[in-house]
Amino acid sequence: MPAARSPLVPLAWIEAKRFARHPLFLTGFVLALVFSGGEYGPAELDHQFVPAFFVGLFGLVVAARLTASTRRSEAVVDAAPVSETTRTAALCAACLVPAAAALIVVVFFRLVLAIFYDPRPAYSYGVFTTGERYVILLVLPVIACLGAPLLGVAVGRWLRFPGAPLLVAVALFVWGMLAGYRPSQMGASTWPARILHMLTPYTAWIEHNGSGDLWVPTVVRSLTGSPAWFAVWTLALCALAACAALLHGAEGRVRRAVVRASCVAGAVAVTSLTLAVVTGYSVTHDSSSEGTVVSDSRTPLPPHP
Amino acid sequence: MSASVGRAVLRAAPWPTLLGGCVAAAALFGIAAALRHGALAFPLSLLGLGLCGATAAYVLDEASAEVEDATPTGRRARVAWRLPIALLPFAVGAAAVLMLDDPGGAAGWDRLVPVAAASVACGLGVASALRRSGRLAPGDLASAIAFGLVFLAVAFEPLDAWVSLAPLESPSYPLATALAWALVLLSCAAVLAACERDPGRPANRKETV
Amino acid sequence: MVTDAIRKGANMTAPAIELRGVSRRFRGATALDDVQLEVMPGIVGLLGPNGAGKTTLLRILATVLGADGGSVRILGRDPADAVERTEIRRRLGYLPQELQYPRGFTTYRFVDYMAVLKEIEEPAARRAEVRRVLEDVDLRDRAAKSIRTLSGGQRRRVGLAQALLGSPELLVLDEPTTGLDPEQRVALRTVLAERGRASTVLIATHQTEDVAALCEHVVVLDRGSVSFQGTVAALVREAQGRVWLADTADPRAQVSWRTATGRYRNLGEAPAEAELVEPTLEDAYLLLRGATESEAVAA
Repeated sequence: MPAARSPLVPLAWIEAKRFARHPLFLTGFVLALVFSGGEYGPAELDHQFVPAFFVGLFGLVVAARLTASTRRSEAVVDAAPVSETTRTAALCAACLVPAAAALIVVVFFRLVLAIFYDPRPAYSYGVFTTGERYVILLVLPVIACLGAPLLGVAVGRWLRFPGAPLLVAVALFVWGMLAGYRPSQMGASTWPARILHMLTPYTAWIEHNGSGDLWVPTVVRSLTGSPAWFAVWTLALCALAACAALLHGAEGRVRRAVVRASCVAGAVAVTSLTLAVVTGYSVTHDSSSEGTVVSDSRTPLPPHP
Repeated sequence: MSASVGRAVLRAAPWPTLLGGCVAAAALFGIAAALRHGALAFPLSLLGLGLCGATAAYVLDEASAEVEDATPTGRRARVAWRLPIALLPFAVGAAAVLMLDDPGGAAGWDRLVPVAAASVACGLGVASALRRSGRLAPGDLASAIAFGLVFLAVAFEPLDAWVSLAPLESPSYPLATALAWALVLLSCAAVLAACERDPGRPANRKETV
Repeated sequence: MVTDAIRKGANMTAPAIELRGVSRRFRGATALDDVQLEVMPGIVGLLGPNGAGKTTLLRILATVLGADGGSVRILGRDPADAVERTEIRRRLGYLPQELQYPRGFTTYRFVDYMAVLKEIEEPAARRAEVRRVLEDVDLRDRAAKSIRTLSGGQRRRVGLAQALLGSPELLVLDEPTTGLDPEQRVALRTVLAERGRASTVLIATHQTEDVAALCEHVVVLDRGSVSFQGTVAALVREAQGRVWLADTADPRAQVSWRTATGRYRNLGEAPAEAELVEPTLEDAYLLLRGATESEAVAA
């Protein structure tokens, strides 16, 4: 008798197609493209918010709904030889769809900038090196759009009360907003502020004095932390979310493997978070056409002339 | 319609979800109040207002509507009893923005009260439209849609050339703002009235009464 | 009070249901097409294959769906009229094919809630009525349990209990015995047989043995139209002389299957060396379906 092929790949393919066809995901994806193709906002490093919000947070709700959608037929599905862990793994694999969508959005944005807009002045990227810029602009949005849907799968598996996906999405958004922007208002260079600024799945990297129709800000404030280690930290969070989802219904050997993987992911998370705080920028810098200076984050940015 | 029917219909509402939604919205407003002088208070309030609308989307959930529709207590009567529940998330949103309001300050938080009303109306309208399409308890989906619509409308201001939808500062177009929210409220009321008709009405004919 | 009115209002000589040329379409698909139907009080079985339009017909009769065309009269009233529709609903019990329950309700609380919606308002009378219907479906001991914790069959019986509230003049039941064990099915038959003496009970089902055991009349629906309407005996008579037991399956038979004895039951023309047997309702139904299929193919 030939060895049975793993059902993970066909299952993942089915779930990926369901994800890609979900109206909420498509709405978020289209909105992200619209916001990336229209009027160019004041600072490019802020753009990571667009895919993270429209593809990532919408993807969280979609993933939770897809995961919960099989609950009604649980009795039948549970009797199938494919374990719940395999089904969850397929759903986790389907989260590559929003990650791919995020990649399309950020590449599309780069193309729009390259074709229609002049190069930004160097100071608008703050103190960040070219490599760090690419991490912020190309890597972090993709990770955010992978992690949020993975969390959605975990929510779909563990939280069964109505409105759970939306509540988690809002909580995640508030967490990101508070941790991203609040530390700079309380003195960004203090240790608590530096830790808080990294202790989030999404964070801000700059503040500026540009707004709405003022394309180019005159002062850009670079915030603390290391983008590269932050990327590793968020990847570890993705792994933890996947482990949390896989843990539901896992038994015996599989359960032990998932727990071990969680421990490894947890250790990577703690290490990378520490490194993101310790090795990154420890103070805020204000950059303008006149150069870059160390600044006190509590001092408001000068108004746009 | 007797009070006992009203009591029964009200008791059957998904209270844990509704109260949970209100508490979550109140928590957001609480954080906004704690940071009221910072830049984060406004977006947090908008999230709270969106959550009020999302909560209202659960008001019409009736899992067993198929048999409830076959009783003499028609759908419109049940909806009429349920609608006042939507005042709860509205009250949370309105009270929160009024408490955030500082009469001497530059920001006019009280101008967000119509947003709270429109958000709740939006939640009800979306839920009602989904119910018409056959979902008996559309709260989960309706809340996500209503939240998205309200939050995107007020946070991204897609019509800012003509109207300011969340006029925290003095509105540039006060009449247009008032008209825009009035239009949203009326549209949602119309959707509600159209979608919560008795499903037993003849499909292609007018009611004989 | 309402229950009394319902009991007094029952008219056992007039048709409970009259449909003339009723049609219903869903996004271009025809669910019911020119349905003519007259149902007298008693227990009537509604048979038909999946997709025949049974559920659509039942939803129209339960006044939760309007017809596109034709005339509908239920208990002598027109459901197109809002006031008359409410009057019908006061005399109606309905169990849909799939009934969802609100979260957090106990059995008693749900049935009590439905009793309030059915305008049984006086608390003592309502309590008594709820207890009575729970007794009828053998759920008294589960009254305080959350519906979520009940088994599939028990949940089905909660649905039946709410349909029986107020001793309705017309009971519209869509596959009521689904999920019930044999004992519960027999108990339900007893309850429905009792109801059938004073009211009209319309049961849509795939269980021909339920129809044979319970119903005097049967309606067969196929492709949105009524293909047979009459007594169960008349339908069975149509199969007389067309059911055979043989040692092999006859290729000319409309339907043929192997029975528990190892012999083949052939419906249709007589196979060689076959034994003619008495038809059952299932045989008759299958023969009728076969004939309708052939007509459709010929058309």
